[in-house]
Amino acid sequence: MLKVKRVEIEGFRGFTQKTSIEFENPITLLHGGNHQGKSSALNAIEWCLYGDECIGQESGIRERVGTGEFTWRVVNDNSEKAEVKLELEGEEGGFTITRAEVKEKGKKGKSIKVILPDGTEKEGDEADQEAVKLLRVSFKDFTATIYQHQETIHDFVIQTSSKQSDVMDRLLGLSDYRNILDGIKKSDVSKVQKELAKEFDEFQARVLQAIKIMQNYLDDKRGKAKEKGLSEEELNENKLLELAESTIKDIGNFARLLGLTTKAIFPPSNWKNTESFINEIKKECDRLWAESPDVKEHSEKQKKRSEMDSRKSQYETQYKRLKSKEKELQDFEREKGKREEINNKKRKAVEEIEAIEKEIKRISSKAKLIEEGISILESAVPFDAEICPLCGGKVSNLLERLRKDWKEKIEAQVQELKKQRKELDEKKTDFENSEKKLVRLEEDTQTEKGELRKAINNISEFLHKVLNDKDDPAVILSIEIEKINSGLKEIEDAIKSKRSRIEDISKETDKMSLLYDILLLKNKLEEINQIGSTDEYQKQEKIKTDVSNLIRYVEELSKIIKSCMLKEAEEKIALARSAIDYYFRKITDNPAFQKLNIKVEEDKKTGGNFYIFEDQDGKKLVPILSQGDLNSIALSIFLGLGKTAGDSHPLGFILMDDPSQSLDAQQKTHLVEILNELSDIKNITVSTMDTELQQFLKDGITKVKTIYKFSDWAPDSGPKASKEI
Amino acid sequence: MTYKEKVQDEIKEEKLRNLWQEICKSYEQGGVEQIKSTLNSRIAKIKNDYEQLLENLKKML
Repeated sequence: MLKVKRVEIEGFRGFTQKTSIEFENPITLLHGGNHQGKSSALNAIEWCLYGDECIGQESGIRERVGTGEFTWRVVNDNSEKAEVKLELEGEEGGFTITRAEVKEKGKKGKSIKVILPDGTEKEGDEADQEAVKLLRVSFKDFTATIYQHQETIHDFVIQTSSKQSDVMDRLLGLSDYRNILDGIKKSDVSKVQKELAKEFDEFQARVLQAIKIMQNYLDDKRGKAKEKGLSEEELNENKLLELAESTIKDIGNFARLLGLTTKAIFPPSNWKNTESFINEIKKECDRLWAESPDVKEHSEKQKKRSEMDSRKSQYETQYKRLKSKEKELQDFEREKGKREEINNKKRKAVEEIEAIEKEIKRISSKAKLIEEGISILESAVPFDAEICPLCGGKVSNLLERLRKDWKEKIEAQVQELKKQRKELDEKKTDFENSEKKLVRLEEDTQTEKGELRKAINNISEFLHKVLNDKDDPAVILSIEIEKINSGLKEIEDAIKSKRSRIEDISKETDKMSLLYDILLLKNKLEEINQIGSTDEYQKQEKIKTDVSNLIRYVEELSKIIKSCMLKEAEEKIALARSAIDYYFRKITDNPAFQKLNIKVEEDKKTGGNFYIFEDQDGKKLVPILSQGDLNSIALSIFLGLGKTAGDSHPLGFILMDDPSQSLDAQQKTHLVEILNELSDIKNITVSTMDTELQQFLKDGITKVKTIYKFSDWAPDSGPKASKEI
Repeated sequence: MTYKEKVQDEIKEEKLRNLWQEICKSYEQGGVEQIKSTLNSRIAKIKNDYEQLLENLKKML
């Protein structure tokens, strides 16, 4: 059996300085606080043996999954290169594996060197192959039976039963099955099959819908054809071509009837050209109709009648406008008088204004004289202003009062005169406005008369007839229009029979059009019904089969993988059953647990394995187990598998990282007893921060042991690993 | 026996064996994601061909 003798670590994970650890004794204890490099030392051994296999999702170890800043970094942040040298001793002698990785160099920066027992050195792929040959243990078996990861115990203790099954798979080395099933499940194979099936169903629904719609159209067209006198037997190409021939003849006859010639029209070569033929026929009919002499005359007469109607309407409108204007003028004269009367009234008002002006002047002169008289009296000396010169009575402010009385009297007279003059001014303005309006009305009436004259002249010119004032143009026009109407009636009777010929041709083309639609729909329906026999349809059927086969293969393969996974789990558990049971009972030392039985079934939900832990009575244990008991199960399985592999296992060592999680003191003592027993066949390395377990190991292990204390870790110097004597 | 051999021993059909080998090769090269990608690229090609055909068929309507 191959045993680890020594490991030399430099630049790997927490290690910066070169550090050596020796494993020369049956038990090696690595102890110290958290984050002191104990786990990294065990990781270094694993990495040296398996390289990149122990990194990423395939490793089955959660902390090693992740990219970018979450990548599990091999090379120490303060080192350029990681190098681990592992010295192993087997029956064939000692050999060395050295694995190195240079930072950020990718594949080129990775190397491995193996020195074989005979001293031969191998590098690269050859070295990898030699390592595989010497180890004879896959990475999965290594994690199941050799290296008990800290995470394994932790997950088993705290996770739900489905997650515990995941840990069990890992403990049993079944991660590859799980990962492959996971990869298959993640693919879009089933999803795409559903999508394709959906798309095809939609397509088929569209086909059915198209057939239904076309069938409805066809039935509708058949009904119309029947209404037009076509029997079911006549709904074919021959009938259509026959109709085309007869329509050409009808067009020729019609042209002759009109005294015209028709251009050469040929029947369609097959039913598909019907549309252009019908268009040609319609165009020719329109042309012949437009060029027909009767129609031309009819059209000219209609045009003349329309022009007469328009002139008559113009005249009547203008006549009404003139009459309305004349009435307005008469009404105004009746109200305000004729122009001469208005003029006289205005002149009289002007004369009266002048008379008032004169009177105002006269009163003003009189007022001036009185003022002067009073002034003379005021200047007479002596004059007793208090004595009235007329009555001799005493009057205070006599002259002043006199002046005031006169002023008031004159002002009243002037005021009255001004009032009269204002009234006369208003009258005068009113007369002037009436005069202006009258002039405008007279002018408007003249304008309307001129317009009416123009309309009459227009009619006279149109009819080539002189119209005098006594003629009523409207009556004359009505007589002329009546003459045209009777002419039109004669022509209309003549063209009515010709029109029926055109309608007959039109009926024929309608029939042809219907037959064409029917043939087109029949053809389209036939095409759709034949889709199933096209190459494209056959190809898509083949693709559908390919997809179904792929799905079937994938499902079948998944079944086989699940079955192999289940079988392997059952086999491994069966082989290790008694050892696992023994270790579990020994660690827990609980009289209630007399037996641990592990069953494995297929998990219907996930498709993976599902593990059931039962006691001696078939009672499920997980719901009633403490965390310490759960840890005991995980340790029992790991140790049981390791022991079962026993002497036949090529590797004679086991690595245990923090195995005492949640165990009580008694359980730890029992674990140490088991390790003491097991150390007879395997070298055991235990890494722990648990001081109680350290002490139990120091005291309880009866074999020679090597003890390393990990301490004083710093980013630039790494851990200090001191060997204790 | 490895998982690869154990599963292979259970497979009777040639095409299924080829698919298993393809899946194993993908897994060894790029793990879970590579299996997904291999199967997806297989189905994507089929899907593409299928959609093209369906388009042609739709044009016939």
